[in-house]
Amino acid sequence: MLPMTAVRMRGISKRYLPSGVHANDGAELVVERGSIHALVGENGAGKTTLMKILAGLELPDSGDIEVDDKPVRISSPARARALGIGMVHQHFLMFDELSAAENIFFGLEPERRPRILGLLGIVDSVKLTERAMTLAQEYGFAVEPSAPVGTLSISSRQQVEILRQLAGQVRILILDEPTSVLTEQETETLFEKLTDLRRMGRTILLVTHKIDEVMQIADRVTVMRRGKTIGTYDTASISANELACLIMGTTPHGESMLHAAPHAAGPSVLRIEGLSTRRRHQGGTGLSGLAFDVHGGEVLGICALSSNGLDELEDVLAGFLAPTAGTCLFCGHQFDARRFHEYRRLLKEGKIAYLPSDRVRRAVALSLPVMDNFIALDRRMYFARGWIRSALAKRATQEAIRGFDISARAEQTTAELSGGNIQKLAVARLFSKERPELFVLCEPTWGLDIRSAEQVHDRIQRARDAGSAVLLLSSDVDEILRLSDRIMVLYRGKQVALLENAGQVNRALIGEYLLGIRSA
Amino acid sequence: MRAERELQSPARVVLAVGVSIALAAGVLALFSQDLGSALAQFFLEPFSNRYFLGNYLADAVPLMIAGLGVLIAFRSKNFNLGGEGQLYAGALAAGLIALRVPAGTAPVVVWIWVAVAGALTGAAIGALSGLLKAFWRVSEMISSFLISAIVINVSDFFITGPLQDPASNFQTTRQIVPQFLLPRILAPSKLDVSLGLAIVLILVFMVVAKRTRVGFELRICGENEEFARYCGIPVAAYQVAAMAVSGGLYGLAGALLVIGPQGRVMRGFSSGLGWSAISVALLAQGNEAGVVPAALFIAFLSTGSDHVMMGSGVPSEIISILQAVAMCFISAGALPRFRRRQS
Repeated sequence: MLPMTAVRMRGISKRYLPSGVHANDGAELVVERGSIHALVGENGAGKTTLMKILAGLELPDSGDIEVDDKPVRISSPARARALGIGMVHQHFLMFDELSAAENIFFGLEPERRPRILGLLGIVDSVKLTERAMTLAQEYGFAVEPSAPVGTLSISSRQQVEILRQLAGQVRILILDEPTSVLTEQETETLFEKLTDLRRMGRTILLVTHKIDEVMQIADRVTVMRRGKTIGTYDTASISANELACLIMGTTPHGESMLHAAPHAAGPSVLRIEGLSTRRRHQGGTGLSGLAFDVHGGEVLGICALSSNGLDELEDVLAGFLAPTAGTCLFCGHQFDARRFHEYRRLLKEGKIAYLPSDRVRRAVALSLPVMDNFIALDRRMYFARGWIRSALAKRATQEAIRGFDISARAEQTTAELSGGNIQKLAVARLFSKERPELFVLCEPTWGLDIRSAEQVHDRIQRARDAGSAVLLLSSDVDEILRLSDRIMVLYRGKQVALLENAGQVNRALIGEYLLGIRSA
Repeated sequence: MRAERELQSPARVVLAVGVSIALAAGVLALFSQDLGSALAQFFLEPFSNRYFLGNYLADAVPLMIAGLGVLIAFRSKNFNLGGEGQLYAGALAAGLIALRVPAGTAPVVVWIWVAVAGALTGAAIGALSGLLKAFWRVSEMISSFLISAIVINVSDFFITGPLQDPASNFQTTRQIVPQFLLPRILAPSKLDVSLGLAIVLILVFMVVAKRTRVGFELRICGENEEFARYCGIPVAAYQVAAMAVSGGLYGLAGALLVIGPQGRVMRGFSSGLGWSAISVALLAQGNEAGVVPAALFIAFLSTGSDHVMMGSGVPSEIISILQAVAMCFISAGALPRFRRRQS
């Protein structure tokens, strides 16, 4: 008879060295056998790291793990598998060219062809397919075993991943954000399968940040915040709202409403209607039917958790992703999705100043000197009739370095700068230009310490007060509340709220919209 | 950590050069009867008199021009492997003009026409690969190589067919009349004034890269394409332009050979020049100024070994192997810098 507790993790700490960030800081987790256990928390709360430690993909710096009441050291994925633990990743790890059956049994004892062919490692694909079929039927999965995985839909591929774990005799199945890639119907199907698996005695760990899903399917839920475990609760005895409060925490900086000064919104700078896109990458969410406008002298904060469409919105506003539908009215120019290149021209002409969220890949060329990166956006100013104005470029770069307190020299290779300093460089570059009509700022204070973040917030407000329109795309609710005049929330690619940032709007309310438990 | 690696890079090049020279000496020791005279033939003879020195420099000139072209393509992260074809196309265009112009034309006009035609022909072929990459995501390495293979055969057809010199036993066109050939310097060697043009070109490209907006934008395209798009730089246009310039310089190198040392368009005259130019660019480490010493070194390897072949009777196959192994060391020594940039 197996014990009731399937997994017990105590005092787990894990620090990622390059950044020194504590992904887990004394996290605890107790999971009962044969239950569906949800693990929830904001982005970066440490859920995935904790699960990777359990699956043998990361080694903890400290802490104890018990599986079936026996202390274990899970040093590798193979060790985890031997203990009956398997993980289905957010981004599937499969061979697209191989069939579903081959993927399912890859690395397990293969169905060899008899005699010589078998000795040569030739696999009997007919038998393999039969076995996969039997397995799929046993668990009620509808997967075509002989089809190459690359041709299957996302939800079928996920089923193949789950079957792969089940074929390896996994008793504790970890699913990392399994529904982020699924449509609502596909999510329903997945949940039916998970409920079936629970009935067959498997233990399921579900990493998610969607509260409605937790309430729908999980027996118990553990809340994590900033690498620590906040608590574990029976879903029957907690409400969705209480859970949302636990996830978001009480506001750590207090209810600081920096923006409070009343402002007079100017004319509409950008108006967008019916904006829809495809998803940017696997795991993303396409936008559907967004409609909003932003006025001069106003900050519109747009907030979403990851994979809910914020990346796609950024890429449209940055000119990287052409929308599939929608119209745009920018300072009197009107155009639709088919004439997206006109929007790109506006960006190029400097009417729109855009700060990318991905600083390393999009905001700088790491191998070039700081000065080259600084002048790259405003080449019209730093090159006169095609020739560089080096004295001007150098002076401007040094001024920005001083003004934003960047620890760098103008000639230094940008790769030598810390992430925070690269971010400050990107921000300084944007605010050194002539005042644009519209700022599109994506995660502007990501990776900055408090003082630098305040400095950036101050700049954003000054730009607003000078009459620019500001679109602030951020997954940091505090930042959104602090700076925005109005707040829009995206959930699964749809806009679920567009509110005036007045008295009754607080962290908890935004949290409910973000997590999809409240909609307008 | 990073600064360390930057320092390592030139050290690697010096090491590669040193190892390939040591290797050459080792091969000579194995295959020549008289090691002392073989070494002297290899290391000293190319510099021993006006004639040898001139010929040696003449071999370096096309390497400088073509190597500069490869370097420009590298800078935008394009690998132009179609140098041979671009070279032959430029040479053929040059030959067609130099053989057809009326005898009374001023030589300067002919030289300019030939240079421009050669460069434009090479540029058109290079640009084709650039366009294929910009619009259909076809790897420029593969397309330039394959297009080159076609172009070489087409040019061979013209050389051995319609343009074949009926009086010659070689597969070649007629001789170009002497007054249309570039003036020689260091006579009687085959070195001509194109050396000056090569130096000027290198200086011009240096200034363009360091001081102008075009050079700046090209560098950004090569270092981080997504950042270039964020800056509003027309990435596709630069891709095409870089391949065109690269092909154009190959074409120019071919054209100058035709109205210079060669004096006609001969089948197979390049003898791997298109590939050696890639080694030159690798050795130059992405730096225009480095092209001159790099070209001089690569030319030295082949000139020195030619002298040994003739003087000490070391078989030409051994010399080819020596050159190939030296190239391997150079590529291995110089390449990681580019690979790292690409990732």
